[in-house]
Amino acid sequence: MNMETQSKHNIDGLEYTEADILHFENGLPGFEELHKYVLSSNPDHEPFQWLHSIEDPNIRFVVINPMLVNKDYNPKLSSIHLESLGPFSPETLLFFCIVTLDRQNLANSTANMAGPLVVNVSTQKGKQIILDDQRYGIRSSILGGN
Amino acid sequence: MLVLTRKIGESIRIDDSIKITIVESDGHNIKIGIDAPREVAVHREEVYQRILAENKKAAVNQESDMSAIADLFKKRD
Repeated sequence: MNMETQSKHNIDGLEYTEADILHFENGLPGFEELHKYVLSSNPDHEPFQWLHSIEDPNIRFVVINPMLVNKDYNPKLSSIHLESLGPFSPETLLFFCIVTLDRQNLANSTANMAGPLVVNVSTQKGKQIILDDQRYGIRSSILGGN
Repeated sequence: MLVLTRKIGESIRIDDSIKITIVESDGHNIKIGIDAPREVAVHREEVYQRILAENKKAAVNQESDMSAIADLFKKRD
């Protein structure tokens, strides 16, 4: 292991090493200039996690495993979508959906099931996939109902 | 914006690798065929814009809201 992967960095109280960085080569739509993110967990926040930009400390997303929002979540993905993430198998792919919190009424918060983030843990590469799948909405309720 | 006139069956070539063909038109809707390398993502513009807008809306979050939404989630059903 080299020094670079060992050394600790700190952003806004979040500690991470180079090995923790998730690389989004094309950024996310709206944030094309930000390519490096780190996930963080806190027992008080489960099952939600933060996805922090390490290039802009003001940008962080709340994410959740889409299967916890909809246990039948099974988007149609072709391997073409995933080629840029490097060699993968079903076991190395993690899915996250970005949560939009409704600050006025948190019960109305939603998850973006139509634009899941897919991360290949074997390469630490990720991308947001825009699904062409009518079953999954951009603003799906996360607290039951529709 | 570059504007070109094309007939049904005619195409436009973008760079060496992208070909856009006008397949069909009924005066109201136009069917377009796109031949592009596998790594080029093609989306309907309005779908892309909706995802972009939702990302912008979702990007900034408070620590306190995170704890509160986690509590609500655990109590659901």
